[in-house]
Amino acid sequence: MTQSDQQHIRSIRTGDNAGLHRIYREFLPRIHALITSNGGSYDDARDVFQDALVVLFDKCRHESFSLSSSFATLLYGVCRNLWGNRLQKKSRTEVSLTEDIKFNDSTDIEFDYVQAERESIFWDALRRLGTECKRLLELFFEKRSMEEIAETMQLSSVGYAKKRKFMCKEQLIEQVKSDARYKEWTEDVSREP
Amino acid sequence: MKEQLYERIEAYLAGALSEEERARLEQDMAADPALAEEVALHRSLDNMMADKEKLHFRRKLDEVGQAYTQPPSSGSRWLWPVVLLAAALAALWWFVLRPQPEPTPVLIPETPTVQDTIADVPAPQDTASLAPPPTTPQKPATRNLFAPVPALEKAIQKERDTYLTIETALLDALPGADARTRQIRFSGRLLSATEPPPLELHLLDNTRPDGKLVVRIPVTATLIEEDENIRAFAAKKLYLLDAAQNALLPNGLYYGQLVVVADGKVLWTGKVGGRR
Repeated sequence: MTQSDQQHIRSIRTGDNAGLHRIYREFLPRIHALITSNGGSYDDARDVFQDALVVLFDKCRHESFSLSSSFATLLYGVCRNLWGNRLQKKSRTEVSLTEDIKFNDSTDIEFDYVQAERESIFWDALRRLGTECKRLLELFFEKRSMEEIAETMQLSSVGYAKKRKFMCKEQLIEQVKSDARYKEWTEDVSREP
Repeated sequence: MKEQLYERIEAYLAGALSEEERARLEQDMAADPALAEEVALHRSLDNMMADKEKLHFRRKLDEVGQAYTQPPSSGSRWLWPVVLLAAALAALWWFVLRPQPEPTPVLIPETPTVQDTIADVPAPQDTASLAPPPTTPQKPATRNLFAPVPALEKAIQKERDTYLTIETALLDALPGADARTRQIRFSGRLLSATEPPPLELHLLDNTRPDGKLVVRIPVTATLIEEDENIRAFAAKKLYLLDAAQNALLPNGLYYGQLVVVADGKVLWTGKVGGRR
């Protein structure tokens, strides 16, 4: 593990701005090449890249995490698997996979790719909400009381705050349900014995 | 009603239902897959939203990712030949067609124009006509755009403030929307026992003995709570510092100084080459 590899891990751990830019600049073009040569677009590449960084963040934040391969190999492996997962679902209908992209874990670290994908469905839905809803739900999930939320958000009453909370949450959950990936996920569940 | 259903599910997940109500909901779930799915959704949402560290990281990624919405190669594929041709024409003008330079040195302009500093992307009108531009018959002043400034070089080595400790700091000049703008980004970690005072990043260039202020950028400080190392040895808390701004910057060497707005005290000095 080189110094710059360590620096990359540190950037992910601390969410360091310049460090994350460096990671994007250095690795996104390679991931772009990987994804586009396997039936994806630039936007797919960005999504996969971002999900992969979250997966790495999850892995390296707590435990004494050390790289056994280079950072590039690890990131590449995670992206490949995330994309492989997506394609495997798609392939039932449209895309044929090259041998290279099929699920093939070359890293010795276990990652929960399915979990990562599910979380990103929620995250995308949350992103699409309006600012007020986002803020209100954040407070709600921080387990603030409705009184406190009404006051912070300057809502006229606790009853109204509750109503807003319900509407925002419903909107969020409907967004998730209408996501194509969510449909695939529930199909998978119902297909399992 | 759906609102009541949500409250029932929320109470269930929070463990706030009575034994009886809980059993009834679980029975209902067993009979109704749609209800079971709804509960599972709410649970997943709870789990995701409870992880504040990860949410913070995702937000950060969204922010950083904004700068990469276009594939980097698009545009540059046709741009490169243009740049090379322009460079060749510029070289031809410089070595063959350029009028003889005046023997007397020319004063360095205070605000360097883009023309004399951006060498890699000449303006198109320069390349269209091989004749020298009539407005500047003299050779442009040659100053070393990357000449270090001794006073600032010394400041980089200087002892740090004991109350406001900069742990790590990075100054970056990223390519901006076009060839001339650059995004100045500063990020760092600050250890401080108290709420940090308002901070600014001053960007200085090397045209004056102690640097000339070209841009002032406000710095935001965000408290990071979850850092066990920090809590372990002192009451100081760790703050994440962040500043970013687009600026029109000619190539050259720039110094960044993290300054306390109230008293102008410099906490950190670093430098960055304004060219990639």
